[in-house]
Amino acid sequence: MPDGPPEDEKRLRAVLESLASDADSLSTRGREISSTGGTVAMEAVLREIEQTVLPRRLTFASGSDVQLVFDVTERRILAFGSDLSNTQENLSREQAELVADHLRSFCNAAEIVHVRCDVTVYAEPGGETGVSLPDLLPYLAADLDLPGQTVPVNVAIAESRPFTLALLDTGVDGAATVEGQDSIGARLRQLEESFQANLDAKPGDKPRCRIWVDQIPGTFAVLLVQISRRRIWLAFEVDHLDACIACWSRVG
Amino acid sequence: MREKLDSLRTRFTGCSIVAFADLSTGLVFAASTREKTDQERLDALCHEARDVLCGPVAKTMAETGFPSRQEPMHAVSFDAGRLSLFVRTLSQPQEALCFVCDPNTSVTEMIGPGADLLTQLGREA
Repeated sequence: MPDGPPEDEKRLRAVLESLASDADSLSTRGREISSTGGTVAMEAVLREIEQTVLPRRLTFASGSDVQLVFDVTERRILAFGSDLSNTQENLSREQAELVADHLRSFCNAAEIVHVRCDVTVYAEPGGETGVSLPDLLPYLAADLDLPGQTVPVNVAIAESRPFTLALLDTGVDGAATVEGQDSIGARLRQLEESFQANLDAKPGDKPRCRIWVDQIPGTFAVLLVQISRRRIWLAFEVDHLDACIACWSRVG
Repeated sequence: MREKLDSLRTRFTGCSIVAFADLSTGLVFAASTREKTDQERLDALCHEARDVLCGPVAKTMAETGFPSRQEPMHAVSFDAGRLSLFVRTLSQPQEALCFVCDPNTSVTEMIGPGADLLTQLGREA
């Protein structure tokens, strides 16, 4: 049975495909995301950016050999340019209008848009760097059909997989499933059993997310997501703390 | 102390509150806020810090979750509209810095400076 409306299924499928696929060769344009330009192209480009949590280089190509290259991590544009050798790096919120202008020009001139997604290594972004969708919104058309403000749980789980050590999901019916490293999964089971036994297990209306970080540097952290009666415990390396928050902050 | 908290808070554009709290008493000793904030809000923040760092789940983390078998050093509570970070140090585990920020603020960047300030305040006490 589908979990969530069809639009969420398409998004989940796109995320899983992007995680599973190898980087495209330089000779390919990549995946078609819009068969037209203008507003539809803009919405498709913004959707790609919003789905990018781990460091990726997104190369958007229009039908007329024009390219727009974005370095994106944690849903923020850290660098952009027209090709790999001509980029503006270390972007901050103050450059949102500049980025929006380039986006608008590219999309208005496009007839069709493809995207190629390449794995990239990027320095961990700080909270003050990068341009996010909320930063761009004041400079974009008001009638855009923007990416959903909430992220389905299954999409958040898929986006978290690259840094997940173990995951326990009680599901909506309380039948817990565990995946990942056995020893850490066993700890998550014990946490869930203890959690059920105390008053903190009461369900709430709004999703609630908490992370606990161990005292020993380099060990793992634990995320607990409570959505109604469902609980997800996720163990991950502390290095991915910001990425984990980015994946789960809009779950709903 | 207030100046030090102001200096820490203004390093992070998305940060609206930094409060220095005593977890054993539930009191906020000092706070730096971007906007006028009433004591009730600060008390609620300290209460949240005690709950997440010392409450039932934190104790369970110590018993079964973490390799260290200790209560968590730091904790984060967040949703789509808000993020709260709670930082403490091994040397002064009853004291914590409580941050309230936009959800897209880097927690990783705040932990180090927060711990450094706690250590400094502990030496000056």
